Amino acid sequence: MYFVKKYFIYVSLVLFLINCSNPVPLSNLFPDATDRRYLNVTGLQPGDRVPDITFYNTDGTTDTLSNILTIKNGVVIYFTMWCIVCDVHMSYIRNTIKPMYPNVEFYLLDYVSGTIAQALANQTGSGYTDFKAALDKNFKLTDMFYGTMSTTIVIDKNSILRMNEDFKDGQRLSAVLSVLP
Amino acid sequence: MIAFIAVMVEIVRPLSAASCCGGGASASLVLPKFATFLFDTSIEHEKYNGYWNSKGEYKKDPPGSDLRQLRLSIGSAYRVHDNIQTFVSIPYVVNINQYTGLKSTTYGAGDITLGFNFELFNDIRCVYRILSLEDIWPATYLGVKAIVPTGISPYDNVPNSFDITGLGFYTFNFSLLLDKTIKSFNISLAGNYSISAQRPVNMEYGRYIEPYYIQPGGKLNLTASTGYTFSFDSMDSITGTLGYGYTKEYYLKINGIENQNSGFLKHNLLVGIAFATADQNNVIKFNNAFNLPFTGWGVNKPATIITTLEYSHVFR
Repeated sequence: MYFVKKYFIYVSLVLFLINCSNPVPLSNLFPDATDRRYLNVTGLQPGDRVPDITFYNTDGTTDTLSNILTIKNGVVIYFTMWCIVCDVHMSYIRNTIKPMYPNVEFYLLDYVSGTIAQALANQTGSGYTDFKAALDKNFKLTDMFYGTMSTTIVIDKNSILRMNEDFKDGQRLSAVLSVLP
Repeated sequence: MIAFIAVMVEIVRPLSAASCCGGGASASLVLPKFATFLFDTSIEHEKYNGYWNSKGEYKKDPPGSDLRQLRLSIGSAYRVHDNIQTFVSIPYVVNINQYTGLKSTTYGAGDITLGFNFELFNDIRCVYRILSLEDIWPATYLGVKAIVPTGISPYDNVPNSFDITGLGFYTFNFSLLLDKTIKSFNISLAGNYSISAQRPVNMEYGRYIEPYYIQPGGKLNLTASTGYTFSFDSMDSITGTLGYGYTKEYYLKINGIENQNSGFLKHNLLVGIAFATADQNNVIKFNNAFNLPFTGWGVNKPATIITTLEYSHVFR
């Protein structure tokens, strides 16, 4: 009883922290502001030329980046998994950003669904049928941009990558779009 | 009756339990008056059941989705003064997710919770009948607790928000709890407010990003619950509880600027049952906290069903 009272907490804490198979990450206990983007292993970076991309649309059609850029001033690709975080971002794009840039194509890129049918079901269920949405077949674009949840891509009319980063609050996306050539 | 207070306090706890895009933090543990030590262990199962978007519209998860989080916690509370107790709770989290084409099982430490509760009363506030004004006065607790970010957060090397086990922020919570038992009836009202410290972020979902500073908005949580206790001839007892909870999180700040697309709101309901032995030293609780999956019952937040099985042992 005495042992339990006195040492229970300390023993538990120590075991919890060392937790050999999956140790407690220190990145949250001691967060730092060091820029480590150079450690990202792959992915096109702003300034790089983007090769021609094929979009496998949820309506069953396909588009290519080069074709889109013949009629649009740029393309925004948002990596979505249709979750609530994505919904907040997509809702902001719909309400605040998209209306300001009618000459830019906005794509929701589903990188989690295995099939076009599943991607369409997710798009419809989430209420984003007013967007163009595409499936990232074989994770080609995920690999190309090193994309993950809420990665936001901006490509200008010359196929130059202008933005490749997380959405955050949308301010960066607005700023990049406002200076598109 | 002494343990009954603890039962009720514990019963409201799932209403503020952690949720999707977070998870892992445990709630407060409250020691009954005059007891010296409490050991507590629990297993919580949280099943995600759609979400409310920014307009408050309820949306189902994509077809074929099955998102669950299992939280195993051990904790204890210890009396350090006649009216002051301290507690710590240590969770371990397992995520089991099937989401459209993604399937994953991840596990890891959750966020540790530790804190103090201050009792603003000197004797047991459970009464059998009201004979004076003093008999109406509830057991009142002021609490302060810290949530330490020992879990895996969105700012770690995880592919998406379903695989995290903690929030990633140092959070401080201040609470007020009023609890009154008259004969077999109990009513409990609780309010608490959380403030999280600003932190730098240089990684999100496994990808290094341009560093920025983020601070979650303050979070207000209000709960009300009522219960009835039935005592057997052996003096063992069973308590049934119904509760309601309201949670609102205000706008988060990015680099000091409010993000007006953030924050959330959620209404919760709770039913619970607790068994206590005659000596009140062993309490087993089974709670179910859930949301009504209808438009208007939340904003920017997943709907969940949280089932909790908990065992507490009190040392006098």
